[in-house]
Amino acid sequence: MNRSPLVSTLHYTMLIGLALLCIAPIAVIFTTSMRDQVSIFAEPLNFIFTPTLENYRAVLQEDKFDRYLLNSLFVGVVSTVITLVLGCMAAYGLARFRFFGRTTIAYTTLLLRTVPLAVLAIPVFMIWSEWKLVNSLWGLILLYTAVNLPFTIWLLYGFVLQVPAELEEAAAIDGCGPLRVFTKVLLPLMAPGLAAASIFTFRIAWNEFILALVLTDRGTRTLPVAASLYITDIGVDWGKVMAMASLIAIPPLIFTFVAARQIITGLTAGAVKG
Amino acid sequence: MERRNLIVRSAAMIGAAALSPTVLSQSDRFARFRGITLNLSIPTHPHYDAMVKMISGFTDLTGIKVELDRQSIPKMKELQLADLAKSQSAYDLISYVVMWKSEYVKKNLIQTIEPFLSNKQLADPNFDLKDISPNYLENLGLVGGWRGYLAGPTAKLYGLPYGAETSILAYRTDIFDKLKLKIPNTYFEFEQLLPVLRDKAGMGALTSRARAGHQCVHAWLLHLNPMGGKVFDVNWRPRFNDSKGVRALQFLQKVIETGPKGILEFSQAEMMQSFLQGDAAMYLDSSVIFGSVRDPQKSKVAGKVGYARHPKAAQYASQSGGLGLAIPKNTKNPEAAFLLMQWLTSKEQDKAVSRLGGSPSRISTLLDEELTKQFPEYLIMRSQLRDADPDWRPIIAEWDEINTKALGVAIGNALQGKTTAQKALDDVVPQVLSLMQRGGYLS
Repeated sequence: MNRSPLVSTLHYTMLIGLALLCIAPIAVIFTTSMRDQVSIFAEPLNFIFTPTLENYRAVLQEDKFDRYLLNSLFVGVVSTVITLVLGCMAAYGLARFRFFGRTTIAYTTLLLRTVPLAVLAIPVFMIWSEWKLVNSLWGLILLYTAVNLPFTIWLLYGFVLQVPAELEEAAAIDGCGPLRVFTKVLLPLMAPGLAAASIFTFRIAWNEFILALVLTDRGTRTLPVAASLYITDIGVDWGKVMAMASLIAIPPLIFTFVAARQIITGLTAGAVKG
Repeated sequence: MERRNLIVRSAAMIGAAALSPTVLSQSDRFARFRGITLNLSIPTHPHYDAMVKMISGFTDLTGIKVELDRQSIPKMKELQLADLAKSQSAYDLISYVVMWKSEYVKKNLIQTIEPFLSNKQLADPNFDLKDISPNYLENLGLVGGWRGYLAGPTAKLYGLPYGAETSILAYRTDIFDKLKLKIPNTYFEFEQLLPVLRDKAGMGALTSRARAGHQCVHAWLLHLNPMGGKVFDVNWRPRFNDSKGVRALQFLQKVIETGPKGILEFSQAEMMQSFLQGDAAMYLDSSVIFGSVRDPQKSKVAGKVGYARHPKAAQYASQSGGLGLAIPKNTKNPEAAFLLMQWLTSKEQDKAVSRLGGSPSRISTLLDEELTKQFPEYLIMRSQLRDADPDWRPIIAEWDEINTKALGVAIGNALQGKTTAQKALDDVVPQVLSLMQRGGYLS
């Protein structure tokens, strides 16, 4: 069906507007990171300026950026892997087995996801202090795993349900044990779900600020906490904050592109098998 | 003056002890600490930004590694309080805000540095404690003397100034020249100048902190002292609502009327930024602005700023405060921490940090010919340091509550025009009296 030129124009205007809304904050972050303090505070805002890499130099050289980057990567990757392993097994159990309390467990898990992270800061700090997990990367990993598990379980639960049980039965008839059915039949078909879940869990672990601020010290600080150090009593060093923000955005972008490719591959694989 | 003599005498005694012939050479002092790592708790602050650039020099000289933990000032205090209460601190040297010194000593968290200064194995004979500004030393370092936080026979030295500040008047030379205006020397001239600048310069006359709470109290105290006022009398009874206190608040109200756009919401950050961005013709606050004014990446007014003495009313009086360095009581490396503190506050490093945009604490730095040529504002700073009053605000545990919840609200109301200066200050007296009674200062 052909659209009228007016509808098409409106349609594209709306799409362009939405795209601009999405791109504008990123553009502001990036351009601000290339400005000096005078240019950032200039009134009215001047779009023509001499770009500088000084903020990037300061962020990369004057503090321990490499240490914070490694901390963030370690916490993000390890908590994502653990979350996915536990999440897909829990989702499989909930979807395929009937046991007492199954529905209660499923909905309680979902309920936990609704608690705002900031509310957890004080109780978590107290418990983690008792367990000697404060100022440790494993403390953060444990927390992010716990926080991300409910979402992961529910997301993968849907994917498990979509896989026909007959496929598992056929594999069982061919001699596969339950673990082999899970790893060789189910997991490859769940790849798009795992990729989607990994994007979300990695991004939360990578970007989370409040709990990381409370639970880390100079040795275990992650990148978002390090960015907050440019907020001082006598002003915010916006150029450096934005340079740090631009650098922080790069790894999740790469991760998302890699994982998104996996989603497409998985969908295609599913279509062929179906 | 008597207090100043006391500080100088104490410094001379400690200095003389350190000058004994059995002192060790520099390399001998450092040798037994080679390879250890010292942990420092420092704030995100321009002076410490400068320090970070030169700290590797200490490791090169001594073989002692230095690990820095930089935090915003409120977070830094929170971490210090938690860490210093442990049986062994993770920090070997801490930076602290002047207002925390009495609290840290009362809680037994930091140790006096006098034994280190007289220890021949550690003290540098060229350190010259007397060269550190006596007002800074009293304000930031001494605890246990007169009023608990000033010099006196019972006072002990717990820290050294590092990132200390005084107040200074900065003004736009281009605007003063164009309008043929005289730099104010007295508060009378200052007050006359405010509407003239607003009307003729087309910008705010004087930028100021004004946000309700700590910020507006700080601004009021800056004017209270030159007017001869004090928050308490010698018996700790409130006297801030006398004619001098009211006059200081009325002056601040005029500053708000003639100030830059949005001034009522200004904290220190916005106040500084408005001057750096050219929205105000004058600035009267901490000397921490020196480095930012000079830096064309941070300042639109670089090369257009002159400095003058904080104007006089009943007397010349500038503030003193900022940051100092102290050694935690429970550090496992107190001697090495002292060596680092001594190195950072030495004559050479005071000059080095000043060149990098930090705040000088030593008289020799302010008198240095090369530096004075580079930073002519040091000439004014010398007189500001002579005028500095270490008692310009009370450093007592109750001050935080009086500052933010009592005076901060009252002065904020007066600045917003909700009440008059006299009524605002009168009305808050019972609340302050009650807080002082609760603290045991009044019966």
